Amino acid sequence: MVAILEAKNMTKVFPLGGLMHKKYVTAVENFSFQIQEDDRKVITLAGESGSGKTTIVNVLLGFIKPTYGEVLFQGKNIWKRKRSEWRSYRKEVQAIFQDPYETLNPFHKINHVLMQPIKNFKLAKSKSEAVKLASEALYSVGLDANDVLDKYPHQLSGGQRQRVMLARVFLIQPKIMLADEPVSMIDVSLRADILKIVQKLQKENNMSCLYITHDLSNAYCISDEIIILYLGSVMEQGDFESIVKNPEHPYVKTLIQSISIPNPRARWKGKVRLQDIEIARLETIVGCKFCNRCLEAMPICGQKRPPLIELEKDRKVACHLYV
Amino acid sequence: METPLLEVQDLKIYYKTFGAPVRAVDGVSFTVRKKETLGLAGESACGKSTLAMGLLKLIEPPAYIAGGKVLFRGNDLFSMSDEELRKIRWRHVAFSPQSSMNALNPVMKIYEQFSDAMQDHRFKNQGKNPQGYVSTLLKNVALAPRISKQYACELSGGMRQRVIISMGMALRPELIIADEPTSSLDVVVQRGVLEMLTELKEEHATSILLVSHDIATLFEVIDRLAIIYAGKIVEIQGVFDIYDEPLHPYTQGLIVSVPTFERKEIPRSIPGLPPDLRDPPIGCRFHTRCPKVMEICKHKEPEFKEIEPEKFVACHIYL
Repeated sequence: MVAILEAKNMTKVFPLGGLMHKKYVTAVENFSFQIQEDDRKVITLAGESGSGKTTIVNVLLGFIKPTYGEVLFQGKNIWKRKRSEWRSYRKEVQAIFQDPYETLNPFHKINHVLMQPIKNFKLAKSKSEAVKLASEALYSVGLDANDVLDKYPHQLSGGQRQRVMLARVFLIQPKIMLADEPVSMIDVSLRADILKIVQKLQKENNMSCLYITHDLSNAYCISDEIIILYLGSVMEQGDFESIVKNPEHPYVKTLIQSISIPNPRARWKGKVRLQDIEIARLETIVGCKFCNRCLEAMPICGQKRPPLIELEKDRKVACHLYV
Repeated sequence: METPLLEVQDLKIYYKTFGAPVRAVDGVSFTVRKKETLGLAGESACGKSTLAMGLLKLIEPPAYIAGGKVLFRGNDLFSMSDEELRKIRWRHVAFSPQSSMNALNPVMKIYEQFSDAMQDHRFKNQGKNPQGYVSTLLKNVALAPRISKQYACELSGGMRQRVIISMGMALRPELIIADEPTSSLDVVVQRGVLEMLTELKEEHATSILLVSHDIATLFEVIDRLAIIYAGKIVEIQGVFDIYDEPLHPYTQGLIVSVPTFERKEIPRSIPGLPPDLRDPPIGCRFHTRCPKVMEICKHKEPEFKEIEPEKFVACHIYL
């Protein structure tokens, strides 16, 4: 099997502080994952704030260079590509971001937003064909072309703006869609509509999707697999359903239990342990990163970083309990 | 009947514009009882935050109070002088704002901000050792005592939010109004903060008005739930009743739009958008999105009333 997009032992270290007292923050540590060419599915990348989700997206999109490790696209390191090859990379890997207001240029009409990729990637032969393509794309995300093409981003609601971004993805038909918190700025009652479009796009156009979020219950509706990060390291990864039903890592257990179920009879049981996460990140942690919050911590957890081991097929966990 | 701790009667808060005013809160009535946690839920832009701030007259122009009363233990807050109201704020009714990033003073250490409030309200319960009292308060929200010697910029979002909550608790108020106290926090921290808030409430017999858009989280801690839509409260019921039998079609839509791990499918959403509050729809404000709309809904506004004991709803289906 050929991996279409692959990250190999990717690490990103950011320098912090002044000249004299330079500190380093490891935002992502030894992150590996791959999306197969012939196995199109939705993978969720989940973690709390500061767990390195957005850094991973930025590295995968080629906005920042990884400190160690590499990102391979169709088997080739993206940082060793020629300029012209970047274009094909952009064609095949498209992103949707959290706040569509920031990604749309306020001076350009929606028409421009959709015509630009058509021109860039030469998707249409004539102007009328381009307009037809744009209308089709808007129709596929539930918008009326006559309604929105002539409007500026500020004249649209948050949900409509996010739909425009999805229409762009529909136009370009990439192999991979990176969706970074696409619904977190949208009202709860309207989120389902956007998720449905993401799912439809992915299924009908046979894309793979990396869905980055902190909201597991929304991700669960559309994802097949999940990777759970904590302070830049993968804690557990594998089939979403089996992780939700039967989490192995102590952090993942707490995480799954803490997600609210809209039922007053199924309230939280027990208490969680809070701790200053900021402090923990700046110190160089030798052992497991979750060690000082873990209820099942053992002496070895403070001394040695647990490796990511395969428990069963497609199920990996990084915890000394399973070594 | 016992007088409720806080009683809101037909409160109206509008925003002045060049055209018609934005009727953000338009004739809202509810009560907060002693020792209860009342949840207030709704979509964005339906007047939740305006209502929460308006209760203590914390709104600023262009917002203004266009009518109604807020009674705290039977005393009308709006007819008090500014000085009298200032004494009630924080000491008796504390407000915990949503944007914890901007709510703390950036040039004062955390301890100074605590002691400022305590001195100003002549709070004596801290004993001979105010430093120790602040440390205990911080410990209650799982923060180390050294936090009191730091500035707001040195703390993370979750830590700041916890500082804000412990400041709200500092003067042992009878009521805390918390506007989205946990919506910017990670799930585990969110759970921790809400658990603490409930624990502190039990300990000091405080009442809480918890404003949030996240109905699933509200269900974890509240006793009663009020649903607000387009500036009006459409339903109030006990938390178990509202879950078992939501009366208003909007409440029903809100509850099913929350995804759960029980079913692996995308939940249903409520079609359409909340209305423009400068020119809200005539009749029931929800009729443009309501799946059960009837002819009467389009021209007559339903009255908000108690159809059964403890079940308040504003919908023509039940009238």
